[in-house]
Amino acid sequence: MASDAFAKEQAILDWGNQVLVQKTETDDTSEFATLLAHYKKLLKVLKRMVRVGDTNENRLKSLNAKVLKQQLELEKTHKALSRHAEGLEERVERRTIELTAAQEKLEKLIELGIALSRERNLGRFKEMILYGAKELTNADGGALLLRTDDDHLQYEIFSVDSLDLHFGGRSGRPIPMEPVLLRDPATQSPDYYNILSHAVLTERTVNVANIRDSKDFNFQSVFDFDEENGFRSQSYLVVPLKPSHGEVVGLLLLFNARIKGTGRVIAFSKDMTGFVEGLAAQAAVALVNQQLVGGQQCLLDSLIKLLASAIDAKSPYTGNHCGRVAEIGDMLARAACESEKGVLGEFDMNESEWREFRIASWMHDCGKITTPEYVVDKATKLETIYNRIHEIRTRFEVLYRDEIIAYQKGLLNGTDNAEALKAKLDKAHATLKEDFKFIAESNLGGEYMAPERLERLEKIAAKTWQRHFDNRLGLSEEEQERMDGESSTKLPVTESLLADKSIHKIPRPGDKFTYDADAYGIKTQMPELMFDQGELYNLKIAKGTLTHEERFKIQEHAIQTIVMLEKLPFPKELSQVVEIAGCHHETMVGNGYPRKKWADEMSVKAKILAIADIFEALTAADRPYKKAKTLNQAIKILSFMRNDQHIDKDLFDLFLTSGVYADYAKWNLKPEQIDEVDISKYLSVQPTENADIEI
Amino acid sequence: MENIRIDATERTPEIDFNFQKGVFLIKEESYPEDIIAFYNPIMDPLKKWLDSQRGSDIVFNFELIYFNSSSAKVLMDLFDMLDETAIHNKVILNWIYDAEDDNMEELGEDFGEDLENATFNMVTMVAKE
Repeated sequence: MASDAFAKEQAILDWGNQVLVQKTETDDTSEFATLLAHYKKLLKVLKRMVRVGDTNENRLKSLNAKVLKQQLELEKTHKALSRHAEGLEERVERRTIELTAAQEKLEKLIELGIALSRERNLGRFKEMILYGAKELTNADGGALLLRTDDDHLQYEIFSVDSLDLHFGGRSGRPIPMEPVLLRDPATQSPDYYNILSHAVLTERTVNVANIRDSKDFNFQSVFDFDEENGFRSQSYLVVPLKPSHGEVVGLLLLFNARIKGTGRVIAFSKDMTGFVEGLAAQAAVALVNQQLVGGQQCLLDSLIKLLASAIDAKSPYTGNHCGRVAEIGDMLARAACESEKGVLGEFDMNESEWREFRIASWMHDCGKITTPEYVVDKATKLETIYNRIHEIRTRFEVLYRDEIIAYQKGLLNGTDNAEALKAKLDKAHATLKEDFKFIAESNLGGEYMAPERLERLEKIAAKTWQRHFDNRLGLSEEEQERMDGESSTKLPVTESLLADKSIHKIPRPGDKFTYDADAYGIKTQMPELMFDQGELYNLKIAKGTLTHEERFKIQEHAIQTIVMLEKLPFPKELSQVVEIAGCHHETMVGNGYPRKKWADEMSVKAKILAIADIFEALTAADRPYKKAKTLNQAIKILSFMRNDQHIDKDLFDLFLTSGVYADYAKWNLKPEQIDEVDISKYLSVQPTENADIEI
Repeated sequence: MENIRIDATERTPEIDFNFQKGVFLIKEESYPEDIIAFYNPIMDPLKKWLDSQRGSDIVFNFELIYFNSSSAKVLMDLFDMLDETAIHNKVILNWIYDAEDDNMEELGEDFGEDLENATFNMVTMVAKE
């Protein structure tokens, strides 16, 4: 390419060659001069070309150097830029971590707040406050103190992780620290030198970066603690627990905040303090609420127990029935919660369920408040609340006869056949005595009224006597009404010795006194009369002392329990109280009362309470018509009831295998009642080893 | 003669030959891939025109920033051509260069050294921007 630019020079060279070939015809000297001139010119061009080349090379070199320099600078700039970018990334990352940590703390705080407002167990609640605050700040140690009524600060929980030192709360170890006094007991002057009392008195958070540098407070007791335990207390944070309205209720103490991971102790930062104050505010409100709720619960429990003891006190015979049923129920329910196998393996009760169950236990017989005592304790068939005018009238009858006798005696003076008369009189007297003895025996209800006894009763009842007095005198309005059925005849009137009369039939009161049985799901049939006090009717009672009407009246307490409890505005978590308390006379097969429920319609808790109720009634040493049974007798009867499916078989098995019956007997039964029980005889599921031996 | 105008490319200079006015310009950079292909079509008419001039005023402006060796040879031939033309005409060559560009200054001085008839001017230009 470059040679092309030398076309002219090439032409001269070609010409020169030609001259050489044709040398004869040429003028050597002039040709040589021409070539020399061209050569000179060529040399000049060559020199220039070399210079241009050099110039360009230099230029290239310097440009190259410049490029290199710029490249280096560019690289430097690039490095600086990437360093900056890295730093930026790092800063963003660090900030992100900080933000995430702050967010986690906030979430934790919210979580704690919610948990605090839900926690009903005071012990767990207190731990939640302290351990929550410790987690938020990563503090090594801390304590929760509550203000007492006499203005002391009482340590509730004290804990130092690195020393594995935990007092109070659920650790079960008593706190060795003395309560903190807010004021000097003698002078009543406030103690501002103690950091704890200071925070309460000023109602302010106190944050000390290093207690060894602090001149504001007296930390001697802390130094003593450090020396004793080989510890070094450094940063301190004290936050009062103060609801938005009202005074400080306690303190949250945290010490030795640590850097996460390293364990290096640092001061409590402003952020941390904010978080802890947030927690403290929530904790204070929740604590006050807890105390209020606790107070209300305590009052409610006392009212329930008061009612239960009032019911028990209605009859000297029932003793402490409600309390004892609650105790047995508690033991059996605990055993059911602990059992991990079989149908009860899944059964468990949370705190509010326990409360519900206990209220139901105490209240199960609250309907008995409506049961007349004379029915509850009816010891003889003829026992009733009685208008004694009738007895007084009877005495007048007797006096009347005495007058006749005296008159007859006078007439008879000196007559013969006295012996025959005497014999007849004696026989009549003997018969009367025999008859009365029979009636009196029947009245006790101890013996079954067999057909021949009923026949004899009818015969005695048919005997007559003369009434000379008006039986409508001295009656109440209601009694008068009941007499309307009887016709008044002229005196004297021949009366049966024992009679069922209209005055004995006591009707049910009007609608306003009763309940809507259907609305409450009551299936027990209600007798037409409220009571029937008929003499013959009562004496004819086949077994025991209660008439059909009275038996219903007694059973009605279970209905009344339901009716009364249904009217109480129980909160949601106690909504099962009625079901548990109202089912204690039901069976597994629909023949109990009052709702005739079946096994699958009742909760385990209701079934537990039913067993507790029966067992207590069987073993109670204070029934008027029964002697207290021994442990064996009571369990045997329960096993019969199990066979009849009146009680739950699995719970009865648990009652035996868990030893609840024996534990209860040990503390509550008389020594003579406690005999050895071979529970294997009564279990519904026989142990397999025994079965093998029998084969 | 028709005027010649060629815009500059990355490797070829701007060419503005105004035959009517007798003013010519070669500007920017020159390192064409094919030196003959670029310069022959413009140098041939230029030579023809220059040979035909008598008593004309001719101004030739060189405003180059960079040129390679092949281009240098073309420029030297052009200088010879113009100096020859200057025997019968008034020819001015202006070597325009950046005041800070020592290389261009040196090359210009070198190239202008042999001119016997034409007027040669070194013209500095204040750097653009």
